[in-house]
Amino acid sequence: MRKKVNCILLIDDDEPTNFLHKIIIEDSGVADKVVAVQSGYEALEYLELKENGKYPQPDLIFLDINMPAMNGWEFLEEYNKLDEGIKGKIVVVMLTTSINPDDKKKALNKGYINGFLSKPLSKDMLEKLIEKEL
Amino acid sequence: MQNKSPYSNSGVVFTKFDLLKIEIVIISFCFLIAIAVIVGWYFDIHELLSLTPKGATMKFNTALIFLLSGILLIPRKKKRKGFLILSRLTAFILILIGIITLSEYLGWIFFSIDNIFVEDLFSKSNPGRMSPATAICSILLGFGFLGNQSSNGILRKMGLFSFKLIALLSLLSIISFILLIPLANKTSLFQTMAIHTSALFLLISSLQILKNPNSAIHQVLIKDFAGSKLTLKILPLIVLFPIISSYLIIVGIHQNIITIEFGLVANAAVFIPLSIIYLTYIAMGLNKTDEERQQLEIKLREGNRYLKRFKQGVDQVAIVALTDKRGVITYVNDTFCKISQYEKEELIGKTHSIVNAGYHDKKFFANLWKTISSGEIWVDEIKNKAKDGSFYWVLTAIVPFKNEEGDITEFMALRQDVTERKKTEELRLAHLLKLEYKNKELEQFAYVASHDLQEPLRTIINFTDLLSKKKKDHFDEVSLKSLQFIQEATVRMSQLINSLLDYNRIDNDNNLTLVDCNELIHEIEIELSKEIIDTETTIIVQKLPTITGYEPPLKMLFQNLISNAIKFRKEGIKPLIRISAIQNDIGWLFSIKDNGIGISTKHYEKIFVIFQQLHNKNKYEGSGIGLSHCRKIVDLHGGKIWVDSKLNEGSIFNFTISTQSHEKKS
Repeated sequence: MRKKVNCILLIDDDEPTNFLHKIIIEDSGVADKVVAVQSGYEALEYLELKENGKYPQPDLIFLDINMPAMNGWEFLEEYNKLDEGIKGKIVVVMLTTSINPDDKKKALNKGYINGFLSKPLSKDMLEKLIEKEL
Repeated sequence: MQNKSPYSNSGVVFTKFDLLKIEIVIISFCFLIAIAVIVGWYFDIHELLSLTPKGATMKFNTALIFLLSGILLIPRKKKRKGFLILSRLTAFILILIGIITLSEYLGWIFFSIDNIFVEDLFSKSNPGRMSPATAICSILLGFGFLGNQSSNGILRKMGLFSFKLIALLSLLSIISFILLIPLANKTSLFQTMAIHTSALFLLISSLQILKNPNSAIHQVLIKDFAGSKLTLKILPLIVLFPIISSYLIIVGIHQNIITIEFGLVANAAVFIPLSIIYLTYIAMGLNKTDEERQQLEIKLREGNRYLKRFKQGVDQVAIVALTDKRGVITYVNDTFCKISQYEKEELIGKTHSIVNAGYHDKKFFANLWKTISSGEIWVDEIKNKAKDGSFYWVLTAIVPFKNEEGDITEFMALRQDVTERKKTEELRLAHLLKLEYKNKELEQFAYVASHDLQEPLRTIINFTDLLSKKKKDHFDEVSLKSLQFIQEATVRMSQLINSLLDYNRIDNDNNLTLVDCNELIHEIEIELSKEIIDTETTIIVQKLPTITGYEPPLKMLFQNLISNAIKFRKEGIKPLIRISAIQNDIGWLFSIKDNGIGISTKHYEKIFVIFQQLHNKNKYEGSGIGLSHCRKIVDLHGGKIWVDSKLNEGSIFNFTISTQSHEKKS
């Protein structure tokens, strides 16, 4: 049987990208719920609010690198400061258009980053990832 | 004697000019006396024949000798052959007259020439016959003149010797006349020689000796040296003392005042101390001159040493050459040989065309010659060719040297090897040209690329428009949203391309003008009036300067900064923008202060980089090009742009406009 997760959080400043990825995830049927936010701030806000039960805790986060105001790396610094209780078993995957090999190296050097994927997402990529990491 | 050498005081020196004057006087005397005597003989005027009542008369034949001599003495510039023959003939006649007269004295008379012209009634013995001394002088005179006209060295020397003998004989006659030795006491040789005869002989012979450049007297008297001066100064003593003292002794003896012995002793006793005093006086003067000369020599040596050092120094750093006025090389130093690879012998006698690289045109060298020929120094860089065909560049200064008359006699060329610098310059120029070309290419590329990008973009815009308007009912929610995203993306892309084109255009097609910044802000306020009114923005402008710059980019600069200040306003607070300018040491410092959202310190640099955006584009519209534009415009005006800001409190954008550097660029 195919694995399925509860919730996926998309962090990308580009609205069309979020829109597209949300549709791809929904069509692939690997998640019950997809939440898209347009900045690191919004994502942190969402993660901190999850305790009240209204929002499901994400099992998987797709994180863009190049974002104005707070980029992917800056978000990760803030994310690391969160309680273990909040972070739980969240899998963080960088999803970016960056072709800079340094970015990939940097990402994989951080122990808590579970993957480095290139945009756009596909059903295949999603299934493999979930099979492997969750 | 135009320039006084340190050795020439005011000493008596015969110049050529003076000699000519004396010559004319002597020739005049010659003719005058000869004619007077001839007249005297024809008309029996005894006073003309003998200067003293009882003295000897000048004979008619003697007068004839002087007449002929006078003709020979007249100086001629051109020596015609006819005259040469005639003067030789005349000289022979003089010799002939002397020989015949002498042979008459000796009794070998074949015929008498004594009275062929006039009858001598005054002389008791040998009437009409000149004295033997006169006859000898006549022969010598003939030889003298022959020697003068000859090109044979020995004959010339003999001629000079003849004149010297005449001078000696006539001097003897004159002295015996001065010393009042009666005719009877004289040797038979001079017995009947008249005083004017001896005087004329002395004058003619002295003149010839003086004129002859081979004679020692000529060499001594004509020259401006210490020896000549000494001779001239001693001459009066030597001439006058013996005559005066001898005269006094003779008079004393005749009057029975002194004895012969006393006279001779007194003569010696006076002559010795007098000569010593006189010579000491002269020697002191000479010593002084000599001392001055020695001092001058020391100075000269010092000067030489100084010049030598100077030359050594110049030789070590410069390439030196001397040429004559036609440009033929007369001297080169080692440095010249080293750089040109030619030997000294190969260069001397040639012109500088030997190292001509053929790089410069004819006009270049024509200008060079024109400059130095007018006496001015010429300086420029020349490309030369060494012996092995390699090229070298020399910074060259050519200095003309003039003589006392102001004519150019020599040129000195001082050169410095600038090959390395020239190479670097050439290389830099090549790089610059390449860079300029690449830049042009890049500009062209950017223009073409962005221009051609617009084309497919417009197609996308048009067709999505068509779909969203006409086929709206056929689409579900996702499709419509997708369509919307496509439309938004294409609009944004179009904006980006336009901005790129603008960015590219900043340094093209602009002219420097005077720009009144107050007016510029006013125009911008009008153009942005909708935004200003909508957002209730207040703009406070202090008095701004008028600067030299490129007007369209400057306007874009202010417009970008002002619209940024409005765009990034804080919610709930009316924008307040203050624009001011102060002068600093490089130009003007402009400040545009707002009360907007501000920028955190870490983004101070990032904001000026092209396509960098700090904010979510939904909230703040923009291409990410505006501030990079601003930086490029400020660069163009030789200035800097930076921001001082505090997050949530506002920003101050500062930029400088240089008053000089960008003006030089254009």
